[in-house]
Amino acid sequence: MCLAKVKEDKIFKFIGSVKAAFVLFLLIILVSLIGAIVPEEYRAAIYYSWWFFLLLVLFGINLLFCSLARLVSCPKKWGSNITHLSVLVILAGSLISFFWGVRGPIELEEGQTADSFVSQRGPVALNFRVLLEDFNLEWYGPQQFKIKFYAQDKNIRGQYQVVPEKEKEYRIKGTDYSFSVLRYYPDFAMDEEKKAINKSLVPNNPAILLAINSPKGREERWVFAKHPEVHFGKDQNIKFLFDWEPMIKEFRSTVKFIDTDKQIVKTIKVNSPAEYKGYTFYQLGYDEKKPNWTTLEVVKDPGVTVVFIGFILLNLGIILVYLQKIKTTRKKKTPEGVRCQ
Amino acid sequence: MPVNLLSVTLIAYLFAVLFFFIGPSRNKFPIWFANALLKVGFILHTLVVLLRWYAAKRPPFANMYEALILLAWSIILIYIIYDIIYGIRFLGKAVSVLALVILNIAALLDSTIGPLVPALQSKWITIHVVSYFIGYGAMSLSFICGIYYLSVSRKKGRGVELALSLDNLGYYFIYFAFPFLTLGMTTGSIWANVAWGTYWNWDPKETCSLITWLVYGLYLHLRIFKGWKEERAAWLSIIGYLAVLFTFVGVNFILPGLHSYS
Repeated sequence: MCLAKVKEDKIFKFIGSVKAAFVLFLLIILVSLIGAIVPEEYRAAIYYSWWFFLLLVLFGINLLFCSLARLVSCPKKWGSNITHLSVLVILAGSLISFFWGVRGPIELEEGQTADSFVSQRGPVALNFRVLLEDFNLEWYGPQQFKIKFYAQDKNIRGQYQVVPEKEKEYRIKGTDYSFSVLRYYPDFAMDEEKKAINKSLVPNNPAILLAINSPKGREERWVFAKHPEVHFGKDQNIKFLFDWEPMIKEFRSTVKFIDTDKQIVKTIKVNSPAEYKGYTFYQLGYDEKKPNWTTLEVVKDPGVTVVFIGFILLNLGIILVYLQKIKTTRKKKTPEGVRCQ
Repeated sequence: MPVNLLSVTLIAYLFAVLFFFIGPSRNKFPIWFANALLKVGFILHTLVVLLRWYAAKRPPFANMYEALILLAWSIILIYIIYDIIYGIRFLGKAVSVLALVILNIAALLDSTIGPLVPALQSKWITIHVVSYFIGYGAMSLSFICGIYYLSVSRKKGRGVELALSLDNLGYYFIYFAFPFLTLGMTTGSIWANVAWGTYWNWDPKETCSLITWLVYGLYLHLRIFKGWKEERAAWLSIIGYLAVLFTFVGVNFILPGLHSYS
């Protein structure tokens, strides 16, 4: 496959050989696997070590030799040539990221501004300022959840998948009871008159109001996701559990980029970063205890474009391999002696 | 409603398994009927996925329950396509058993429709997950071929011919799946960059998907250029599939990371 027509001295011959390719392949697989299995704190010590870096560089050199040799011996194998070169493009891109990419977090409270961040290589000054105008956390309401129940007199246990918006009546099998869901409060509390109120949209104490029908009559009862031990209500024969875990729907930062001549407001969400002057701002995280704070990740990485071009070439190359394969199998077999599969 | 439909699908596959095991006793009817049941099951299975998509108002690829249903779906899909083109009914028994087992495991899991966490709310989810699952479906079939090959290769007579076609078929499945794994991995990387600002983070799921890709890459190179066929190829395809299983299931339960949802 490789070096069919290239003659070099022995060491280069080995570095560019198929044998070396397989050895490097196996070593990379092995090291990657070890890195995935070890505890997270040791991961960086493996993947960002000098010897793993060296391994990847050697792999890149081997691939370069192999690809060039193949390009010389089998120039018409477009697919395979593009595929192998694309891996080199990806490696080159990641090298650019490694040496010239900067990234680092910025933590901001509403109203605060930042004009620099600390990257992996030290502080980076931005030539503009970024102001956090607003940080917003949004939670999902219960779209579907489980209601578990226990009827003491008949020793019946069970659970129902409940979709609250349908206001459906759920009959409890084996008993004369039925229930339906009336209301959802994310932040349940009692006011001074012991009336149920909702304090906020944050699910600090998610609760649903059930309407329970039984032969003894109808009653309304609150059940709590975070307090399964609480069972209000007259009829203590039957107990309900609200089995549901609140989930974050969205968190977004509204920021203002303040430059000497202009100001631009942008919204940053997960999967929807904002770019300004070559820096991309990602929504990295939040702190539930500090609802006015956001954590953004600032990235300036010239390697990304190169890597993505490599990805496109990789997919394109592999598709071409297939198209050429179909073409050649329909035609005659390749002449013997030249191995250009 | 989708839950009941899943049961009907399971029953269709169960009867397909039964008829595959009855086998061609006097005529070919049991196998033909088993294959027909598999196709009926597949149509129902497709409906299960689509109805869940409709009910959840999002692509149904967000938890293990949904992922397993999709995996079984793609295995049957690849089988049916290959059966139509090449006629591979001798794999029907193993394929239907595998799909039945996967769906049964799914049926034991929590089927509550959960909403999507912010990281999953992306247009990349469909292309990333679907290409991976088509790849995994075909790799599952190559795994079946590998196991089946090893079990018949030492037999003489009719076994030789069967072993040879199993060897070739296993290779075709990997050949078919590899571009899908590539597309799945690269789109996943692009998506990670959109979501977190890093296209490669050495997260266990990412790393294991890379290992899987490298193992199958190794398989293709060894087979094409070094003539690794038959027994060695069979073992390599089994190792590759172990990497798939570890990436798909193992990582979630053993190694925590960015990909912790499924």
